[in-house]
Amino acid sequence: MLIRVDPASETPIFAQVAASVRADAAAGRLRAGDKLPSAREVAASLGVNLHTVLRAYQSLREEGLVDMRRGRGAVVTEAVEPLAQLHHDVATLVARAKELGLSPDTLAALVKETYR
Amino acid sequence: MTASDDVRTARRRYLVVGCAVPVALTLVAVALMLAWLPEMPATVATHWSSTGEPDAFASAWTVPVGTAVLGLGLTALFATIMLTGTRDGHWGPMMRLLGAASLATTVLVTVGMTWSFGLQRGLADPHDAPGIGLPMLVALLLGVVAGAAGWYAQPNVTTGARATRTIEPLRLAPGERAVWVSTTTMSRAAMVAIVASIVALALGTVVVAATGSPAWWVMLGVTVLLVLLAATTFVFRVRVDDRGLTVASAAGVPRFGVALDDVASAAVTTVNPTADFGGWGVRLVPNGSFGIVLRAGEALQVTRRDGRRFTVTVDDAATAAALLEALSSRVRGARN
Repeated sequence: MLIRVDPASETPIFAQVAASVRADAAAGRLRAGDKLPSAREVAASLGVNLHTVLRAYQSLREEGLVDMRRGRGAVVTEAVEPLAQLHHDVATLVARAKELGLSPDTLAALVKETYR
Repeated sequence: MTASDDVRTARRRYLVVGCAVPVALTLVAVALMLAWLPEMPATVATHWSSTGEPDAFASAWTVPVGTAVLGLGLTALFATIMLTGTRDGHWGPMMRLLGAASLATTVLVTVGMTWSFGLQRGLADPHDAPGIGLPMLVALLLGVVAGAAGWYAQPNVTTGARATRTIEPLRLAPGERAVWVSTTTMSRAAMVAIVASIVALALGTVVVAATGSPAWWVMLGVTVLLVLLAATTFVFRVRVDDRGLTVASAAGVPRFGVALDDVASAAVTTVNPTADFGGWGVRLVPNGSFGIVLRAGEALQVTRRDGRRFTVTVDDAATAAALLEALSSRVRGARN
């Protein structure tokens, strides 16, 4: 799985880490039962604080995407399956939005509005 | 000549060097021993202690039978590995090495056994059998020479390269940091084969220990070593980050890798374990190529700046290669 963070971005680092994991899950690269790399390994590789990565894992846990168990680390739950199923639809929607020149924020706002 | 013509030539040479010649040598050795049989004592020495005294004996007829079984069996074993491993038309330097090894071991076995048998012609008591230091030394030398000759008698054919595809670097913003992590596990079939052979060896150790032979502790040592090797090479964690490629056993050690500034290029390739690496596990090929080969199929292949290759079989190798390309081009950019 690929985790990327851009310190120049306005999005907080922990949110970027969480978004990377979510994107991997949505792309079908993560299966239920897969183990996320240890927070310490990710923090060392990205040169970020350990607590930043732990905060990202914590927010993924709150979404139900991963399960945190002492000694076992963060394990991906069944909740990734619907994400993977939507992958194709989301990719199509994003491609269409790009064609029409919509910004990511506008698209996200539109999706949120429609969902309500 | 097309690739498949090359493979056909290489395979034909293997069959001569690694099959036909060993079989012929074995038959000559067995024929010679059978011709000597009337002059032999009823029991002959079959094993010598480290001081050169014979210390194990058997009926004379068992030696030609044993030679036939060993010579033909080893040849068949090597040929089976070659034939099953290259069914899909792959060929590589490990196959060339296999053919040479087949010839070398047959020469060692047939020369060693025939000479030590022949020395005992006309003896009344096999306890008087002379030492076999010189015959074994000569057999070993002849084996090495035959192996080298067998190597050069075969063409240098590698088919692996055609499956490699280069990867566009991942688009990274300046200052953006990224890590790619994956786990690669030994294929179930290879795992079963390895565990089964270790169990067989462990059983053999128990049997040998029960007979009271002092060889059992050597076998125990080998068994323990194999268990350790298996335990540390079944699962590897693969990581790409701004330090480069790191491949570490799930047990922590051993650990391999390529530093980022030593990466010339990264690509995705398809590995055929037998043809490309001569089997599964941590592998070094005569052409300097290094591999962590846990299954057939998709693999990340890194070429170092001196041209040597580092390969690890892993899923989603394309993402790993793209990130490695992006990070290493950043380092190259900083250097220039």
